[in-house]
Amino acid sequence: MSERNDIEDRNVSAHYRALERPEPPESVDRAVLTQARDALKKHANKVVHTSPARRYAPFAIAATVLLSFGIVTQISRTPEFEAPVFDSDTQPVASGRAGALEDGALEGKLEQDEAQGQQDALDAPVEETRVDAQAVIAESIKGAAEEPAAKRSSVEPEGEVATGGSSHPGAPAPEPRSDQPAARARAAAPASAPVSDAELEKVSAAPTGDASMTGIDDKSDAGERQQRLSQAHAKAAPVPEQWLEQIQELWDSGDRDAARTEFERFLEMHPDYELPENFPLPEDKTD
Amino acid sequence: MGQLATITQPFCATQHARLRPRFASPLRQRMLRRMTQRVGDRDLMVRYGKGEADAFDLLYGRHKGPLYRYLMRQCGRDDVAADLFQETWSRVIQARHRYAPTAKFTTWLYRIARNCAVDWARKQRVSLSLDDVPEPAAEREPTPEQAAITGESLHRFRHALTELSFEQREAFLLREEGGFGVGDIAAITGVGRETAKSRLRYAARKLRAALAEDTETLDE
Repeated sequence: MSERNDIEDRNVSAHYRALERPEPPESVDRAVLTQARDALKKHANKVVHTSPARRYAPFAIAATVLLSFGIVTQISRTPEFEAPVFDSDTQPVASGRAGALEDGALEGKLEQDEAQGQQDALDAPVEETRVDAQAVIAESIKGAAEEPAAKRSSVEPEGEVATGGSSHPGAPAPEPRSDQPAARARAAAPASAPVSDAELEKVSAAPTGDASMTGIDDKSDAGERQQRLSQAHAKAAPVPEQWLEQIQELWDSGDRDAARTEFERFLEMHPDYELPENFPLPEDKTD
Repeated sequence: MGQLATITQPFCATQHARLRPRFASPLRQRMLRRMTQRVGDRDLMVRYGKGEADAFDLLYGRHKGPLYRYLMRQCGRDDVAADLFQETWSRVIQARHRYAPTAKFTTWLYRIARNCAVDWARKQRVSLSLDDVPEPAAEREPTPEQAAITGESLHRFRHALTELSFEQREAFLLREEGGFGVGDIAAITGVGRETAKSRLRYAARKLRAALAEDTETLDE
């Protein structure tokens, strides 16, 4: 007998089908069907409709995230504040721009700018350079006298002398435009002293607010800035002799405190400068 | 009742005949043919899980007889079979959301019924006796093949059925009542295919032997 016939046997199946064929009792049928319908009714009653607040929660979260992102983006594109100018050697030029000095690429670019400016200054005749520097300083003093003192105090940090104004009591520091580092350098320069290398370097290293905050490389702005920097370097090239002359003038005019202060600053800026033999040191000039 | 009408709508021949002129295109005829097809057990169970009570009515009507007989033959008592039967459907109702349409409904249903029967057998630790088996009732007109079966042979067959082990009787009943193949029986009972086949083979052999004894007795 084959395997299939070993499992299936028609005679066996016929005998089984000849047995009674009972059906479940009616009562069981009714009980099962009733239970099935009741289960659906109970489930329908258990269904809790979600409130509108729950339905709209994902949309609210998404809208909040988008709004927050937009606000952050907008804030990051807006300049935070006017970058204050600090004293020459001791402080970074702008608090928000300190990181920019650490940026190697930007530093390299600014070094190129500075080199270009120095080259322009070297190319220019000495007399012309001096005349230009004097014009720049005179212009800055004039602009500073016109600026209200209150505006200056609101910009500069407390305790920080950004422009060396202590040596020029009658001339408050001018308020340069924040997007013009060269102008700011001119404005920050003391009326009686030319702008030093370090000061110029730091001022020029400070990029414009927009570029530093957003990281957007505005090529046209960069070119213009480079041009202004070159002009500033050319016009405000350090001329120790001129600075000494102005110190001498201050001394002669009677403003000896200012002359002493300026001379101290001069020594800080040019400690290795050999003073002319006929230049009397302020310390030696006694009243 | 409206949902039931939706399910059984294709069976309305008069409506079909009335709509035939308007559904003369092949597409319409194909749609009608699809509508007249028997709705599968899986679809009915899924519909019931979604809240259609009429789908459960159809499902219950299809499977209540074989399932009840399977349980009754397995436990041997009407009252117990009714309880197990009701318990089985109760579990089906409760598990309607967990039913996966990928599973064959009958396999799922009989697995639940088998679990109920196994639980009962473990509790009772009973062995079916001949007295527990109900007497046959002439409910239908017997076929000529069945008519040839004498009352004595039927009695011996019933006795042989009760003498089978629980597993062998289970495999035999699943084949006869549920119409399952060896693979489905193995899946329902949780054993390997060869084990299920072996159980079927032993069950058939014992039942055949019982009928052969009956024949030999008559010959003598």
